[in-house]
Amino acid sequence: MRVDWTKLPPELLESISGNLKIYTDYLRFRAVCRSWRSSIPKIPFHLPPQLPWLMLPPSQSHRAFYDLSTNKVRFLSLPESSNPNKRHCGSSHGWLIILDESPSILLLNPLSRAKLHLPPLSSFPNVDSFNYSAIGKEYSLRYPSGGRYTRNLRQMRDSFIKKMVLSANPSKDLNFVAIAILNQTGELAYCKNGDESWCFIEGAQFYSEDVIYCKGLCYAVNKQGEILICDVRHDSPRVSFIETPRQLSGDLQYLVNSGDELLLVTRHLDLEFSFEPDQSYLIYRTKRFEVSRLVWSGPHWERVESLDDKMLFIGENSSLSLSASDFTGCMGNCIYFTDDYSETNYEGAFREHDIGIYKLWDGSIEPLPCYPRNFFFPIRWPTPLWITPSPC
Amino acid sequence: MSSSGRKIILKSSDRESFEVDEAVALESQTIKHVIEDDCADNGIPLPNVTSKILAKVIEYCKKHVEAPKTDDRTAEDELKSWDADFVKVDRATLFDLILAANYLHIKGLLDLTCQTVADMIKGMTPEEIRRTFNMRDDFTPEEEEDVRRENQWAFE
Repeated sequence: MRVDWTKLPPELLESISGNLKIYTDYLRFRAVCRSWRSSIPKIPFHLPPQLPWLMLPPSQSHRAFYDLSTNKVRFLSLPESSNPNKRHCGSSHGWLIILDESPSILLLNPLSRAKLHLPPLSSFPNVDSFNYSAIGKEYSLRYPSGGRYTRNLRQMRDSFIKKMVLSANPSKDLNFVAIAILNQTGELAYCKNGDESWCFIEGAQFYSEDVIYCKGLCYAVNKQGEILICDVRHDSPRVSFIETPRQLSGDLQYLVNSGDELLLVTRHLDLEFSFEPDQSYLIYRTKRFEVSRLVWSGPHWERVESLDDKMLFIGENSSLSLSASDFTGCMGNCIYFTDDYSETNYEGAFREHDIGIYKLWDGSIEPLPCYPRNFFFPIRWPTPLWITPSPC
Repeated sequence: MSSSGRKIILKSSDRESFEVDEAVALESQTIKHVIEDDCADNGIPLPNVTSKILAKVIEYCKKHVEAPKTDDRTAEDELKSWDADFVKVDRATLFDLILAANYLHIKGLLDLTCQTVADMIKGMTPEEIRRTFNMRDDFTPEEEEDVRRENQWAFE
């Protein structure tokens, strides 16, 4: 006797689809037949964080996204992000944070095309004024010491913000918070959804290496690996510190929330000389990473020799940790990295992107399949960026 | 109040009778309500479940009632392994088991069978899913176009 799977009741189809953790599987489920399609919502809300795509430089109004699982490049029409005058200063919970030659800060979800604005660059506390007609000096700013200086539209777009991070997916949590690391002064600023301007977090200056959000709290790290914890849920931010013994090695620090642990990822760069027939140039290149976990009693950082099944994604995106066994096409005990000290590498007519896969077990670096080493871009493109595809 | 050790008779749609311990029968919320309403004395008819499937369901309930409720990792793994073998059945039986688990409100069995189907279809294209489960593509051309357009990038 033949059974008819199209006749499964909707609530059972919902239960089955609830066990699908990969977005493509969910989409394909909805493409099987009419009853399956109509029994589950178009936008799933239950999916765990997906394997990040690597966003590649734009081509006309399309953006290419490299998918590790399928080793394929997918194209999405994304005019808001494809203009060369755009810069991305972050990627968080599936949303891009986009700056351009205007004060506006745009949040964009490439899959759902949802958009939101954060308070503009001109609303930061250290920006005294903004005036389009003051050509070349549109922004007037003030140092913490009181001295004044000006910046033009491009400088503000490229150098004012180092990185921005969101506390949650704006589609899922309307009370999300955005945290910004300021480049020059090393200050941290925040704003809540609906605010008209940004505020500084008092006492947070120089905790500017990296910032993440974990369980409602903001964690920031300084060059020595010391941690600042900030709670911005109340009227004024509450700040506390974790003073670990100073880490004195490494060039860049990242924080990652991995399972129940707080990890410190230290990136070591080397300066390389490259000689071309008509010009020589210097570039920074990642040589290795070191990972440590925070041990709360002490407190101190304890070296981690193996991430086991976990893989870390770091760069300009909000640092991310995932289990390799939940996905295909990726490996555990690896760090998938892109560069985010781009400015330093922007010298010279030719540059390489410092991106790849660092393997903790032997310290080797494998190039990403879509980015063989010695892949030159003759013009200055934005650096590739990890983004987790999120349907909502 | 019923005493432990009491037996319950379950009657399948093809009129076979199965005698089970009350504790086993109580794994089903549906049967539990019938027992609580004191309507179980002449046996409980289950017109939606064939004897073949009822036998399997009873096997599942027995195993899970008898399983030690410890935090012992090995016992847990053993039960998981038993569950994995339990669902190694042909697709028609799997289909009937899902419906039976749903009708009888046996949460563990429902979760297990739904997970099993999900695991089968992971990584499959819609066409492969249809072939595996002998399903017709019943979209109209307009709907087909809708489906394609919606998720162009997922099907490339």
